Amino acid sequence: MIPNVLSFLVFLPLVGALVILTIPNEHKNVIRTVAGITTLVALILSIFVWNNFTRGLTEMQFTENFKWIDLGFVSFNYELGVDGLSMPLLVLTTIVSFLAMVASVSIKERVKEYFIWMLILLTGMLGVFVALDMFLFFLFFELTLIPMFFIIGIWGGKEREYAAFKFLVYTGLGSALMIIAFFMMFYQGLKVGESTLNFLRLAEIYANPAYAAVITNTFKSGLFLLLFIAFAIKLPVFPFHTWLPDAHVQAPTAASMILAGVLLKMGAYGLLRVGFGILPDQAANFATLIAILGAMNIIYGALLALVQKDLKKLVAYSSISHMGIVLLGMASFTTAGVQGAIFQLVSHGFIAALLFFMVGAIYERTHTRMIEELGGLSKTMPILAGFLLAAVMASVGLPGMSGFISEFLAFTGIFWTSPDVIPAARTIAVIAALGIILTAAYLLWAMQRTTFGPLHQSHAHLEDARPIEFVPMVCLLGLVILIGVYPAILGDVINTTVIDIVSKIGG
Amino acid sequence: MIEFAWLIPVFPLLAFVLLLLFGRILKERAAYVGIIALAASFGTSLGVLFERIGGEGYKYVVRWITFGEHTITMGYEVTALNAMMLIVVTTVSLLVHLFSKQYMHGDERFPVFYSYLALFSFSMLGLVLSPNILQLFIFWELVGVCSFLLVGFWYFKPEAAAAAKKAFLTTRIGDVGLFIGLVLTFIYMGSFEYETIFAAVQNGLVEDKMITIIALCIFLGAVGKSAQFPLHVWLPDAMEGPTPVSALIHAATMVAAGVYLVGVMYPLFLASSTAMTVVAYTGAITAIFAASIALVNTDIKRVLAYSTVSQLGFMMVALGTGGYVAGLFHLMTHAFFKALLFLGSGSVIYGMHHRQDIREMGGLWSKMKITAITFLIGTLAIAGVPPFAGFWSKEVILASVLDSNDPILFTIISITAAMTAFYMFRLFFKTFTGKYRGDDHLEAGEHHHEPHESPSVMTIPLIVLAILAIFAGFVNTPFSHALDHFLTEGLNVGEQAHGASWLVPYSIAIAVIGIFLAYLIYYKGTISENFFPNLAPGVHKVLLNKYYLDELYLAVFVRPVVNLGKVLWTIDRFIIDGIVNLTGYLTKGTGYVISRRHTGQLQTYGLVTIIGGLAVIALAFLLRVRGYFG
Repeated sequence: MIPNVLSFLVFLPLVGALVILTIPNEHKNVIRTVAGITTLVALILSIFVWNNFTRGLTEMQFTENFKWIDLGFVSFNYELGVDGLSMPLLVLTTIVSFLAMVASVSIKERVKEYFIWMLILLTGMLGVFVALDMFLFFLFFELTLIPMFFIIGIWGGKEREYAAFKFLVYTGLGSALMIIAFFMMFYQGLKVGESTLNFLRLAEIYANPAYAAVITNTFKSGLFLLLFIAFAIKLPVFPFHTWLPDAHVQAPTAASMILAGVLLKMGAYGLLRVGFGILPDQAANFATLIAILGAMNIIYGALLALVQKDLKKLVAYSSISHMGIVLLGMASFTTAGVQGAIFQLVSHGFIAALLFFMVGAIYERTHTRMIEELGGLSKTMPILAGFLLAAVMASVGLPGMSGFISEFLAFTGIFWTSPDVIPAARTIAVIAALGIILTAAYLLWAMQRTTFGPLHQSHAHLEDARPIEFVPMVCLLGLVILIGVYPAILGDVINTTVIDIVSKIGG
Repeated sequence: MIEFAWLIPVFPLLAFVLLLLFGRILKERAAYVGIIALAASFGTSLGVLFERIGGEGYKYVVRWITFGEHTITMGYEVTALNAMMLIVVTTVSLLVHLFSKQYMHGDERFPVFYSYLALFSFSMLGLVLSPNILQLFIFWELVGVCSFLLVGFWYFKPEAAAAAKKAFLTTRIGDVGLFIGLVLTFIYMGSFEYETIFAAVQNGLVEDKMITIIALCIFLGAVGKSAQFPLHVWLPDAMEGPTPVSALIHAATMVAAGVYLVGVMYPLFLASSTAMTVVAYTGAITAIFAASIALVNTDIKRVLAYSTVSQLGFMMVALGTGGYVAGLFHLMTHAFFKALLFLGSGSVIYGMHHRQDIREMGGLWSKMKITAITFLIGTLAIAGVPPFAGFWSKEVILASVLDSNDPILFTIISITAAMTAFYMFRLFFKTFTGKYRGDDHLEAGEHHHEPHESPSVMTIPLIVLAILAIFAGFVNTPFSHALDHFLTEGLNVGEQAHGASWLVPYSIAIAVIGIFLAYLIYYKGTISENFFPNLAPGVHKVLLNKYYLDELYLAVFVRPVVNLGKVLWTIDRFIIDGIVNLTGYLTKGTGYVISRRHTGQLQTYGLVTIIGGLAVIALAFLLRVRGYFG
């Protein structure tokens, strides 16, 4: 056992960033290697944690705790730990980040800065998933914002500044709401004589009927709504989603992979950890709203994806659509549904990363993302086209791949929901299920016009997959298939925590 | 042997992996990999069947996923029904693998073709061996993807690309129904295992209304996959795929999966008379509807495609009227004679240098004898002439329909049977008899291509299938109900009808009427080919245009959805995003520092956020210290 393994994992990328700081600008390959190795070590560490994670426990594991800043009436504690909710996301983060580092070989300018930002970003993301202290969580959450802002703003496409600014304003607004909510939450705790910033402790306080006079249900409802909006921006939930297509389209490939693969998941994670974890009854009260928004995300995202002319934008809208499944699963408040939501976080993380990688690879060769300017790519690059097709099938929710498991579980959950939680759950579910058809429609339409059909003259001589490109493609597709074929590998880690989350309502 | 049944799908899976990795090196030797794998599967299936005939079933499962206290398992199972299906699938697949070796010769993606064929065989065999309905659904979707890949195999042809998409999307509509049906099954019956589901149904644990809903949802999946009305539109277009694919996937195996699904879930359907009626009428409408289009179509493959749709309708009618064995028996005989007809059409198309319009054919009997004779055998089988296989299975379907005491259904099925005999002999006469018309409309620069018989690697599969089309029906005749006993033993699928003795001459008479009319028009010429079109030109036009369903769907479903997307996108960009941008501009207007440093100084924004966040905290603490909160 490695002591303080989580701290080691979280701050390792930061150390890597410091090392890169000392390397002269012109040694680009050294910089790339250092960044790659740092991330690889983080990946190995996270797999070590995964392997040593005890299945079947509800308690936090690998916990670390020490007082950090003590202000008397409050102490900011440095508290880390993982449970069945954060464990998969931790591994998702390291895997996607490592593969994004590999995909970053195409970055040729300001290499040093780029990798420094990427590594800081990684520390932020890992920190979010292991922090058990509200303030620490917020700090890490903010820490992801700035690197991503710069990565989009400096290494992005033509409209990068607009996209970066929009990303910052939107998610910054979310952070502001979050910190207000956190403060209110802490402060109301203080009123009943409990000074704590710890998520688990707060959950106990907020569930304690003895404090009901001070921590009223009205207060809790307002608090939940605030938290919901804060995290909904990140997820993103309609109508707070418009930052996402711009950010995705403008961001460089690796950043898109991380954005879709990990950053969006922080929204859902926050919602589950803080919203559902501390205010389960309020979450249940808002279940109908969440389910409707989920169905809306699915259908709205799919309909918009259907009319996109830019392949990357299409994938971006598909992300919005797929995040609806997370909402739908969560809202069901059943073990199947919540497990489906977490499955979808992981599954979409891999699939979206793969899709964005593929789109990036195609753009790099054809210099266009316009669907009508592509076509017949199977002819000149059969391997890339093959992987794109596999990624699309995964996104469609083909059984045997991870997306199907999450769809299956989430829909089972929402159909199963008791009418007390969501009155018209089945109607919502059936409408949402139409999204499954729309998903197939826009993705296959895109395939028909990009990889199938006659070849464009200007694309007659394109290079097929390079050896290094096989790394992300094979790893991501392999994981998607692994989870799809043997879902227990992921489900066993999640299940106990899910039971715990679901058991909290009404109790 | 039976415990090694898992090997049956694994052989083609291995072939798929091998071809995926080494296809480029193997080139056309890829065919041997596929052929050997399927031969191994076929051999194992035979062993499994023989062991099953004399003994018990076999089931093996492992844990797949646990959520809450629910656990789902996956594995494989051998039952009487799937032991029969294994033989059907491996036989046809093996023969198609052989046939394709020559048919696909020279195609630059030859190894890819074989890898897809292997993947399909794996998926189809996996579907058949599934011990529960969720696993069946998993493979169900996989065969759909293989179908997509193979229909779109010549992806550079826009028609093929469009057809592949259409096939996938249309079946997907049915699959959503099936998916919902599965979820409801699990919620109400607590399991995906067949025995548990049927036990729950029998013990009255589920209310009748819910049983009907579940059965109808599941049936929707079957409607999509088995190309039943109104979701049949994809199958004729799927003929854009290579012909061996049409034989394997779009005639013998995958499209029959819908019928198989209803068969597998039969006790559930039996428990709902509403569901049974829907199954029967959907089948009947599909049967006569598709047959009517086949009357006028002039593309050899499309006529066969509509015929497949129609025959699948027959199977559904049988199942819907209580004829469990009848439906599945016809599934088996149809697989053989329709695969024969499709491969025969493939041989014709190959010999005709890739022309498939029957108006350009004629007189091929003398030019390609083996193809012609085997095609005639297939035609006799589907037309329902004794003693060919189709006669026996069609006879039990009629018996089942008659037994249900529904004169409407019986009339529809009788008429459709006559239509079948008519359009199939029309096809046969136009293709193989009369004068060769291939040179009638040569354009400048084109020259005569002499049609030729196909090489033996293509004709041997035809001969084997022809033998099966003759003899496969003998497993279940009015004189011996061997299949009947084998399939129903230990299953609660109701009493099977064994028709009145007059049904045998009756069904012969029906076939003869259709054949004779076709003979008069297309062989003797006693009645002009234009007689009927001139009699009712409007009807003829509607039939030629397939009842305008494609146009209808485009106008009613596709265009409105796309337009809705466009409207929403406009709203998204100008209204939802507009509000945000407006807020952004206002912020920038007031935030002098930010707007001034907008260019180049991106760092500011980051700092502003952090400082902003910290400021909020600081402010909060300040307020606390001042006692502002009381």
